[in-house]
Amino acid sequence: MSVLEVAGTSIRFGGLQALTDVNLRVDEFEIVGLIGPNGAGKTTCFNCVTGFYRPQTGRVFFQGEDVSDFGPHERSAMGMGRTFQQVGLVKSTTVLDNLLTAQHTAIGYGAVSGMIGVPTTFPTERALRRRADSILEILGLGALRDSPVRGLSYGTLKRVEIAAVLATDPDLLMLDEPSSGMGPEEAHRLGDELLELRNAFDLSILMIEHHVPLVVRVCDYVYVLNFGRILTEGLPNEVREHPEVVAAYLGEEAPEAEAEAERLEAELEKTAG
Amino acid sequence: MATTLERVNGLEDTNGQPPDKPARPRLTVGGLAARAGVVVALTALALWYVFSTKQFRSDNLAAGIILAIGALSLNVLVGYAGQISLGHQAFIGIGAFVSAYMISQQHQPFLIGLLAGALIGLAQAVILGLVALRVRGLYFALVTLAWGFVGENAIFRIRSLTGGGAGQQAPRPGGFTTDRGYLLVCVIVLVVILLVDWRLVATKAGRALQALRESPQVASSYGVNVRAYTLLAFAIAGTYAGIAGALFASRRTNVVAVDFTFADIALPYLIVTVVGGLRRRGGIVLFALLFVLGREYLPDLAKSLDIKFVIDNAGFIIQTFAGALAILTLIFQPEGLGTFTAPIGRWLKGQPFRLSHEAEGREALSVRP
Repeated sequence: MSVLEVAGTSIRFGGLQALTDVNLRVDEFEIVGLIGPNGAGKTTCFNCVTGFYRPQTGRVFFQGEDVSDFGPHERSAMGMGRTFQQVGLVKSTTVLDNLLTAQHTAIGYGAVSGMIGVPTTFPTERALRRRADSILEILGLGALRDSPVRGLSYGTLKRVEIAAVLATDPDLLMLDEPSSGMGPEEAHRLGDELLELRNAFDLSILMIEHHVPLVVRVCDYVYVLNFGRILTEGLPNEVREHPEVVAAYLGEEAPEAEAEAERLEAELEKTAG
Repeated sequence: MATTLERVNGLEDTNGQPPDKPARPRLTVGGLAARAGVVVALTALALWYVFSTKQFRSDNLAAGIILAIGALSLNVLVGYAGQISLGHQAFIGIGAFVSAYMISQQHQPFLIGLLAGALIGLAQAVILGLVALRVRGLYFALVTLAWGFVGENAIFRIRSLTGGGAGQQAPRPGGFTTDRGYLLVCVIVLVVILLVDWRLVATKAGRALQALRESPQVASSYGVNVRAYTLLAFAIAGTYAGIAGALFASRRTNVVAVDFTFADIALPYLIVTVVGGLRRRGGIVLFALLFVLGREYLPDLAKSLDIKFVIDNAGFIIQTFAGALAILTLIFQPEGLGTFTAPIGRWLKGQPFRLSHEAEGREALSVRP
């Protein structure tokens, strides 16, 4: 059974067709890459999957269930965890507090029970701390436990964000450019980590990524998005060689545009002459 | 990172216990004695103040505590949820009149009146919360301002509820009719509210609200139901405000509509919240008490010094001073005066005395766009 299935998703913002008939699938235990040039609609696609946007057409199935009408918090509770391009952390607080907040849906007691101090809430709070500590330890962030989020470097923030999303206990981890702000060496290490995290937490991963070596190394399958459409899909190495992908990334002068330019040039010469 | 997998397995073996748990610093006997000494001294000072000869001092303290509860209500809304209310005279006034009505017209005990005040406060706050889900920022601030004036000009004119110009009777609870007795009631209510507020911040709801205040996107990606928790914040704030209203009514024993105006309630309460310090309940309570005591003692002080200008204009001077203090706080100490008392609070909790706390970011009063 596939963990995530996006079927025929299209979304339009006013006059802008951001996504057109996007289909993609993430199978259990798979790492799937979503690549494409800037403005291709990758983050829009993430927002449709996680429920922040409501696409005009298409359905989203998560673990076999149609979640198209669910809000973001409901999808998060079902096991969809995501990171944000601009780091989705609560910045006015500490690393530990973020991991506690992220365990929101795992908390057995209700909001009001916590407020009126029902005795069982105290051991639950201690258990949350233990779990947060163990996740930080796994990611090698134990030393930052009590550091305020504000003031950490961008690369560190990206890792803390992954820790926080892991604290939501996801089945599908959706990463929006996890290697941005990292050097090649750090990106390489991130690749190792992702492979280990998949094993440690039984995850499927869908990631938006620009760093091609990272994609080729960790991804089992890759989708290429261009102008809101799936341009092609396949194994990382196949996709990398695909002429249309190369063209989409490097840019290509369209034949019509070239003809138009020549015509204008000729016209210009005529008027000048 | 190469060893992480072994670590994961190791963790499972020890049932989720992290390998090295940071040890909590232990207090020495001297440290414990010093802290106990400070607590005893402060309690003694408060008791001396209450039981020294003048009766009216207890009444002042009760007024300060009621102001503190109202400001804590605004703290939930502005400090925790990042919302705003400029209509607290309606929240508190309606709570006061409903409580007074239940006690004097329906002949219910004080406790039922208090409960009714809390419930009506909760109900009207949740209705405003429903508006807040659709209207944001400055526009929502205007909605709350309008609600305050609806309270003043429409609801407070319902004769059967408010007793018209003569006001509504609101007897104090039996056995607590003296100022000192009533102060005890107020202290008990304040302590309960402070305990709830403490647990609120330390548990699920507080963390959810904090995430929500900063970024609804991040909050919902953590699984927080944005709508439900926004409404919860309004419900809590409304309940506190209703309780403050009920206590307000019975302190006066007779409430009239002119007690609840924008200038007398909504504005000073907001100033106390901001100057005391958003998300700093200690600072808020302390500043609320200082605010009321200052209002009571300034005329006395002026009389003893025989400064005629101050004697004649004490009311204006207090208001000007409060306004100026609010502006100065927002400019120079946006986290409020509570930052000055917070190190003492942390020290009393058993931590070493440190002036700054690393987890505190500078964050001024902000209305989410």
